[in-house]
Amino acid sequence: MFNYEEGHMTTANTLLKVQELSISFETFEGRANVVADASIEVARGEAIGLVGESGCGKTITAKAILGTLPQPPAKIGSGRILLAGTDLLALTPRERREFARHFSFIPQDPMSSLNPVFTVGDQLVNVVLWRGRPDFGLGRYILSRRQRAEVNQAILESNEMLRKVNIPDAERILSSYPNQLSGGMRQRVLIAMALLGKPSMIIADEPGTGLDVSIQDQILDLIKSRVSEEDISVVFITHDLGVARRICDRIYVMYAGTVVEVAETRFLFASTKHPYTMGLLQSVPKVTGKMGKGIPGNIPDYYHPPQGCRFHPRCPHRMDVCDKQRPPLQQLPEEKCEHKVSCFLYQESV
Amino acid sequence: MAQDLLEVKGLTKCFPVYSGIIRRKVGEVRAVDGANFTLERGRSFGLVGESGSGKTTLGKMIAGTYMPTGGSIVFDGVDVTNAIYNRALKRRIQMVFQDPASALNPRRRIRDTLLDPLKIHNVGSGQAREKLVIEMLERVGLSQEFQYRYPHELSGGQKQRVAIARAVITHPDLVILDEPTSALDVSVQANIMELLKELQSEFDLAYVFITHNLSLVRNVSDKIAVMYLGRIMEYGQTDAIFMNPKHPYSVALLSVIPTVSDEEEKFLPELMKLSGEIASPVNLPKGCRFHTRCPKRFDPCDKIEPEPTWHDGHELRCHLYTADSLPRAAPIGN
Repeated sequence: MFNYEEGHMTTANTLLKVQELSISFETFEGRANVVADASIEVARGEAIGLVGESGCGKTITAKAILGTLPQPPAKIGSGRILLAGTDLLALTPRERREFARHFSFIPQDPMSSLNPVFTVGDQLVNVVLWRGRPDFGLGRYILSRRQRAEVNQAILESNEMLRKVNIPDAERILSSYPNQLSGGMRQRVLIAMALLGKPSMIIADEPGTGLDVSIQDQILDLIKSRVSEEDISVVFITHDLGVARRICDRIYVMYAGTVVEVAETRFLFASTKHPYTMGLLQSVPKVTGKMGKGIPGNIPDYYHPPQGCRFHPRCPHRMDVCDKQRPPLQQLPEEKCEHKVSCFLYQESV
Repeated sequence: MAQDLLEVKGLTKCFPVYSGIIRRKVGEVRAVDGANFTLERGRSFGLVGESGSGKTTLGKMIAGTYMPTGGSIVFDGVDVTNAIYNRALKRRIQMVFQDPASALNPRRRIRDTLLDPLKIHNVGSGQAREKLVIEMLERVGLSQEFQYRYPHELSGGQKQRVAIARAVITHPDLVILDEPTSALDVSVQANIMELLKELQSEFDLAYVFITHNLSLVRNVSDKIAVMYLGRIMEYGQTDAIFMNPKHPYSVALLSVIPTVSDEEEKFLPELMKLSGEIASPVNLPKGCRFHTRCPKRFDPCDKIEPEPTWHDGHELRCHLYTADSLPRAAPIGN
């Protein structure tokens, strides 16, 4: 599957391929170049992590993949998003909606992501009824809600899915309103909702972040088991390296809209290369009682991003070349598996 | 032994629950139930637990924003349980809140925010106060032009630095930190923790550190208490609890910490998963409050609530350690 010379995955098993995506925002203050040349590849059935601090462009990238980026103010400058070979950015909005069924989204905040005036059952049934029908229309929706058989089938399916996400008394949950459920339960309902869409890919935006450790642990286990059983690819957006380590096969570390390091999870943690990833790892408080220093400075201003490597103003290993050229994302020659770094420290030509 | 700065004994807070048209009292939530601990000057105490375990309520009682229902708080040798209007006391106990964005008044400049505590507590006058503000800003790593800015012009980490400066500017003895870094990124969190440690040794501050992040508590606290549904389940030296957790709840919490290295993984206790969620504080489970989720529950757990016992330097509430041969809990501080 892995091609050593080329340093990238072969395309046969690739589900999603984001190539050199650039996204900017037009605002009154000028143009903010948020995402710059981000490339991401996801194989079928693989869980990848997009890791980075807030404001590093991970959610924007995910929204671009989902097609929910508000344009304007956002503008996709260049790049391609290929889903199984089809460029999503070249499609008309109508064709794009056809492709929407391939994706599901698990939002970050379980408290505000469910509609408070409908029961959980109603919301899940709607997902089933609209599934794979981008042009279903309100009229046909109202008609189908009156077809008892179709609705009953949808309720059965929702019920079964709630059991799959470890909700024991599914009947009660189906007839309750979101405010009657705890955070962990709501997060489970959102996962069930995402799975009910029968997607080929789930984009999870920091699920479980607002929950307690023991509940977060249950949610991560759940996502992991569901995903491997149903062979769905996952893009897992998180700022927590520990969480990414638990759940992801490969990790993309993002800084200021660029991918700075990519590696299989165990290699990323065993031999961290990029100074930003190192700084991030050091800042995480450890249970062994060792706590390193944080990274000095702040994330750059996107209206005037630093020239060359975007990390160079905060980098402890800064060299002369760093503020002139942007380092390309290159495979490390000494590593057998995929491990790409965008840093001049590891490039022989410099 | 030096005298403890803070001594909390049997501290309890009940919130009434009203229901019906005439808002009759139908029950109460025992948010904190009989908390005992001591804290020496210049040391840190970590309060950990899930949301709804009562850790913030306990912190607020010590800060004097909630009046306790029962028990006592002795601060520096003086009983301050009911002294919630004592201004001189409030100068010595300060608080830093979780979300720096909503803890600072968006309509006031940083200098006004920082001058307030000085005015309220009559520290210095005019020029001296302004000098203090500048000194404090520089001490927390912000340059002096920050004093003319408004909170929205600052990043999250900078806002938290201002909030810390506001708490420390009156030279308190005790600072209550309620999840001070959970709204921040890890790299910023590490910088803020560094700052807190420096300030602690410089001003001889004692911290009560409220957090749900166990790895963080490990790095900052000398003693910790693990809370569950208002009860302190395990209390002891941080090292003792992390090296050798006794209570099944502490073991379970520790075992699921997401780690970033194999070294850390080896350090954690054997994986113990908790099922279910925290019970409702209105209808507390009978017996041990944790028995509904405890993987090690046995006969007496759902009938009798365990009394605190000392075991290997931990104070525990668990029937696994309440065999008759073990001594009853000694009063804290003796």
